[in-house]
Formats: sequence, C-alpha cells, structure tokens
Amino acid sequence: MNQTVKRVFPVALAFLLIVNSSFATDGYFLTGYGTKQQGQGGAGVAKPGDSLAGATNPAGLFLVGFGTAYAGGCTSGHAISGLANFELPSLVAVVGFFSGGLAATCFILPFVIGRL
Amino acid sequence: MTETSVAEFQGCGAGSADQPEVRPAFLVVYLLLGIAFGVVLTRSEVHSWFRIQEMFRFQSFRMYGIIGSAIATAAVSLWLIKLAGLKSVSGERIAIPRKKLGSGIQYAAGGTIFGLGWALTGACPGPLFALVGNGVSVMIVAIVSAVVGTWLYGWARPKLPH
Repeated sequence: MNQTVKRVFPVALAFLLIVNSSFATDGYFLTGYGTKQQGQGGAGVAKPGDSLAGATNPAGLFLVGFGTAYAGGCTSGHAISGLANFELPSLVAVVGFFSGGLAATCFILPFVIGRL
Repeated sequence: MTETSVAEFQGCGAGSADQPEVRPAFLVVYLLLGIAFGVVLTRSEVHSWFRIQEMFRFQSFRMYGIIGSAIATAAVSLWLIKLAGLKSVSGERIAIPRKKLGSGIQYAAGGTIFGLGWALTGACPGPLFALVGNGVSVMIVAIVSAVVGTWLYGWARPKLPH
C-alpha cells in the first residue's frame, strides 16, 4: 500500500502542473455572476466588497459539505444511486435537496444577486 | 437513529462498507471511470451554476431530463447487475446497503442544508472536481470549504438529531 502511494503520488502531483488557460467569467460563470460581476468582467471574486461576495464566494460550499455528511449522500449518492435502488431515505433526502434549493433560490438569492 | 457507524456513511457514492484491498490495477479502473464521469458532467453542463438555476426556476427541462435519465439508467443497471450477480473489480458482490430511515431528520435536515448550498453555489461534490479540471481553479477553495463542512459535521455529530 505504501509503495502504491509512493508511486501514485508523484503522478497526481504531475497532474497539477497541467494548467489550463485562465479566463474571466464575464459575469456568466459560477464564480462570478450577476449584473455587477458582468460589468466588472467577473473580477468580483478577486475584489469582494459588495453584497455579491457571499454568493460568489466559493466557500459557500461549506453548506454542501455539511449537508452531504449529515444526509449521508449527495445528488449522486441519494438522487441517482439511492432512488435507482428505490430507497425511502434517499427520497426524503432528495425532497430536502430540492426544498433547500428552492428556498435559497426564492428567498436568499434575490437579496444577494437581485432578480435575474 | 441513535448510532450510525462510520462505515454506514457512504459519502457521495455508493461503495461497499467493508474496505477492500486497493491494488494498483484497480486504481487504473477507478481513474478511467472517474475520467468518464468528469466528461459526462462537463458535456451535460450539470457543473454550470446557470443550469442549476434554470432547474430551480423551472425554466428548463434539461436538468430534470438528465437526472431522470440517470436514475432510469442506474435502476436498469442495478437490476441487471443483481440478475447477473456481477462482482466489482476487487471481487466482492455489488450491493448497495439498504439505508435505515429512522426518524428521517438526518435525511430531511441534511438534505435541506445541502440544497441551500447547492442553489447558492451551483455546485455539488462531483462537479466540483470537474470544475477544477475545467480550469476554474478558484473551485479549490470550494473543495476545501466543503471538506471543512464535512469535518464540522463529524465534530457536531453527537449533538445533532439523526
């Protein structure tokens, strides 16, 4: 096992060296959306300072990590594998995913990014 | 549910609870399957914040179609796997352990928290890595953040209702 790690780790590190061309988000991509981001060419992540900071900050994924651990699965584990296996707990979790998502879309995002 | 062993926690996928021995040959299979998954996530655009917003605003059938067809494919695959009694690369039988509903609070509360984060950031654990591969390197922050969330759950676990 230790040998395996020693062999695989340098390869994994080498993958990190493959660099893609960087691009501005133009206000349309996940890391910078909304009208203000659009105006700034998606530079808002580099210079937070308005109400958008909360939503464009990728650290918001904290909730996803916590929720995945709490519910014991994510969209792949519960929605796809779980529902395909006809599991009631997965259905409860998926209803939760969707109601949480709807709540965020209807009640939180309008305050953060304005109406799209 | 008062006791949930760590082995019961499946994370994002649905692997087997007992840890099989990892051999380099398996790693190649895992790598190839992972690459295929990443390609599918990217080509189907489920890693896009806008696709997920479209879904939550009921403006497009796209995401529902993708998830629905994925469930149908998975259900048929699972049925065929059970029928043929297929084994995984490491030799154990492929079976998704049944989950216990218990009080259901775990699934309802955890699911809702997940959903809040899902709609806000427009990413779930799988596409995160696909996004990094797409060159959105800022998503490394998101991965660290998700790991911190998972870690905090581990810390708060005894205090939370399940």
